[in-house]
Amino acid sequence: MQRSTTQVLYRYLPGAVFAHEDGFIAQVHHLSGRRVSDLNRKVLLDELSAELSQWLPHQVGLPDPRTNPDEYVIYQPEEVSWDVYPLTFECKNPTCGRLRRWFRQDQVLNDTNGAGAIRCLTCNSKMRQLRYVTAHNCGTMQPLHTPSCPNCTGTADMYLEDLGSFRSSSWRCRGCGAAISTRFTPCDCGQYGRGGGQAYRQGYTARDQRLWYPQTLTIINISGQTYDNLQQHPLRGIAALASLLGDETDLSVSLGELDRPSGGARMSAHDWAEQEARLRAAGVDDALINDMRTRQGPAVTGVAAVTSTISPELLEASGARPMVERAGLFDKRIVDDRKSFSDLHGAATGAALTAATRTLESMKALGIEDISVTQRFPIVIASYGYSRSQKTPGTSHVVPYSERNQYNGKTPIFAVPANTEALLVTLDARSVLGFLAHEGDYTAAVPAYPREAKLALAETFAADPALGTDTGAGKARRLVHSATHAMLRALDDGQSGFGESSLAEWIVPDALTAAIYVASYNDFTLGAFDTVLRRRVSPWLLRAADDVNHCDNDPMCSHTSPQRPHAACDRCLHLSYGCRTWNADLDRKLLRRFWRWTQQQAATP
Amino acid sequence: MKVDLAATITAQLVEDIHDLTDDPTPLITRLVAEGITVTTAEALDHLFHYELALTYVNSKAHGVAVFDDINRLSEKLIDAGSDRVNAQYLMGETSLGELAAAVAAIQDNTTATPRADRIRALVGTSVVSHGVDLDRLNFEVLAGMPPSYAQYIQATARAGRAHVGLVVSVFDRNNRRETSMYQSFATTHAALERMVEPVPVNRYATQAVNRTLPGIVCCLLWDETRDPAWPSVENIGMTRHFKVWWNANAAALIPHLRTRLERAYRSPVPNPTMATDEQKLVDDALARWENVERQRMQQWQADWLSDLFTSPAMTSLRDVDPPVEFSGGNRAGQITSRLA
Repeated sequence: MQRSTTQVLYRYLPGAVFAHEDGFIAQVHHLSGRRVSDLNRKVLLDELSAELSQWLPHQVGLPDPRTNPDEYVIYQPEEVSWDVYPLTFECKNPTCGRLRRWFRQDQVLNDTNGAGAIRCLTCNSKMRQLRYVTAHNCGTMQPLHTPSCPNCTGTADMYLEDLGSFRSSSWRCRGCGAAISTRFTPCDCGQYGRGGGQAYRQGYTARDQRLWYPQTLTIINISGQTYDNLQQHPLRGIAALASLLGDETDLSVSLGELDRPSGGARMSAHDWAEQEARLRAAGVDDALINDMRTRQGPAVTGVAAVTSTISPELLEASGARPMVERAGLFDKRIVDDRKSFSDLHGAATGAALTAATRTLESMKALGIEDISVTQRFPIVIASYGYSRSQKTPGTSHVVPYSERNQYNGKTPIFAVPANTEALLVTLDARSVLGFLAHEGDYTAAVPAYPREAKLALAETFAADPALGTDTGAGKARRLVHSATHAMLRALDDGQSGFGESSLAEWIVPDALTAAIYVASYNDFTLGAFDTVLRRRVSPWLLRAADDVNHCDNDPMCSHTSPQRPHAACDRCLHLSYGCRTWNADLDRKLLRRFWRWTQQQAATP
Repeated sequence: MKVDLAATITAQLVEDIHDLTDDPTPLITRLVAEGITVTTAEALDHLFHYELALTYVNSKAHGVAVFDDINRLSEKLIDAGSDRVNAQYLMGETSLGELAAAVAAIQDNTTATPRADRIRALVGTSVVSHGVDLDRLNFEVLAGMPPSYAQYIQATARAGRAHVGLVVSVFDRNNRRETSMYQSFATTHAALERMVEPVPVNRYATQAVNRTLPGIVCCLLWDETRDPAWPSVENIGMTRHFKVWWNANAAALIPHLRTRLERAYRSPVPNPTMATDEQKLVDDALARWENVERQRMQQWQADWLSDLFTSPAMTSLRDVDPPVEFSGGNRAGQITSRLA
């Protein structure tokens, strides 16, 4: 049996129960692979720490990644080892159905060595695994408990009358016909009991996905001293924001500025204006005034320009991992093959320049600031543990993959890194802000310059970090997400080279940035997005805009209600696999209004 | 879970037809109630056309689960003294030969074929979407929706090709996309023919030539070797045979192959911009053949023709992640053998 690495990451890590293709049920007990060295551990463990902080302390069975980073080891899956599980067998004879149960594989072999086969002790018929188990939020999983007959006081004659659900099925005794419910099995963990009462394990079929939820995270895998230094810098948010604003995209320069002694406080714009007036009145020449402005006046470029103007909330928000990752992706010293459409436009001549200019107009008409392509989008999926019964933080325990005498005594994280091709799309902040103002969700004046618009929007996001709201910030985030889905789906035009189900999104809504990447973990890329950037941006965007204008499911899709507040369906915005939030928080009507507005603005002289 | 429901429905369909084939009286009685009179032989003939069920799955794991349920049904029937359910699981690893053999076996089955030998259940991933055209395939169950409507059309078109077909789609209510598909089922099906989509191909991708050239060269060489115009015909799969054949014919073969390669890569295109790309594609392909792949091939550094190039010849257009092996321990192997 073989499975792809991504399938293994989502279905076949330690603790997972699965139906083996040779017809039995097994549990993964160990996973071997090669140590992953080309992965930024610091970023991964920081993100793991953030993930784990969403769970209650007593629910987390993993070491604290911040205080004990050396307790972790990272592997890429190469071989899955499994055991037969559960070791409860039922007689295949429908008139018998009696059970035999073991707890260890060696016991099964010892007890059946004589017969050389697992046979029913009563009728000698063949047996098969009982495909039910019980599990609980605390992480416990047990074979289905076989109760003793209340009359015959033993389990020898018990069988499972399987009627297809635990609610209707029951244990029955072949001896006396007594029946016992299968519904409740107490768990002795003493946790997750309803109303603080007795905790019960739930019955599941062995292939029920609720038996094992992998807990995964995704990071952008950027390695290098500059990026590591940035990650550890307390003011990394300033460097990330300087990148977003276009003040300084070279992170090494930003870090250098952040670490350089300030050389004395700079004046505010107001104070400098007064000082400059005094200097001019005193007859100081322009060269000296300019020199003094550079050293003492308000900063106008680089991280210093950012530092003097942002709120503490924005400083904190800009230091969040996705913002820093975005800054890393847009630093051409780090991702050196990233090619922007404006680069192509700048290099074009003749007919190519005319075509590129038209494409820029198409982008502007949809409120898009930039589209870039890279063949080395460094995405990593990693799994650090699993939960049972529930998958959301706070509702169950997170169980690590660690094993006694395995993984060098450390806690393994299983990761699949990839360098795949991606299109990076950034929406235009002035367009988004203008649209929010048009909708009545932004009341201040829309700044005239892109940098100021980005800053104003960033402050708006920082002041309202909640997701899924109907505030200006919430709408803008939904807009970025919806536009990403629309553009991703529009790439499936038969000519880009990829179907929708082969693509996935990575978005940083607060930076108006999205990546559409090829969800492939092979060693090669096809280079198809390079062609899209060179030749097909206009038709691609035209298709995206056209597709959100009307949905084949209208009027049903457009109909909204308190239960369905936004318009999105399988025919317009949903993705098969590539959405990180499983198609939540999408709104085609909002996107349609936005693109109609941007198109009107672009058409207005 | 949708796969459980899909498996249950499949097993129930197969079992019901099995029971009716044993005793068609309920079917005959029901038809009479509908004003249709059939003989037992006619009833059995109808049932024969509905005894094969296909379960379409979107993952191998789902396929294993469904296959397991069908095998359990088979065991139950055997225990009851009846015929087994001969089932086949067709997935990505299934070779074209195995797929063709399964299709041929079904086509060869007649009412005279013992029921235990007739294939009565197929479980398949998307590999069954093309080339599995069987008059007797009239029941199909979808365990969840395929990634696109184009694939849905392909998948569901397997059933009901010569007789009235029944397709059961099982949706996952915890999946927003599938819930939406369920809610718009009727309107979607009214316009299904508009949802056929082209297979995504980007001929001008920067790595397209590198990825495809070894496979295309292999195909052309295989084709040439069957051409009686060449002095000898060889099975060129193995390098030691191919090398002899190549060296004997290279002088004439090289320019001929170049012409065929150019034809293979060039397509008529509608506009001047694409014509530029098209010419570049052809030029790149020929240059790579002359300067890289042919040079590498003639080093003869592998046992098989398909391995003589800078990368293995593609055998599928699907990009498949590197596989991970599964292994059970010694004890696990002994336990499974004792269950057999």
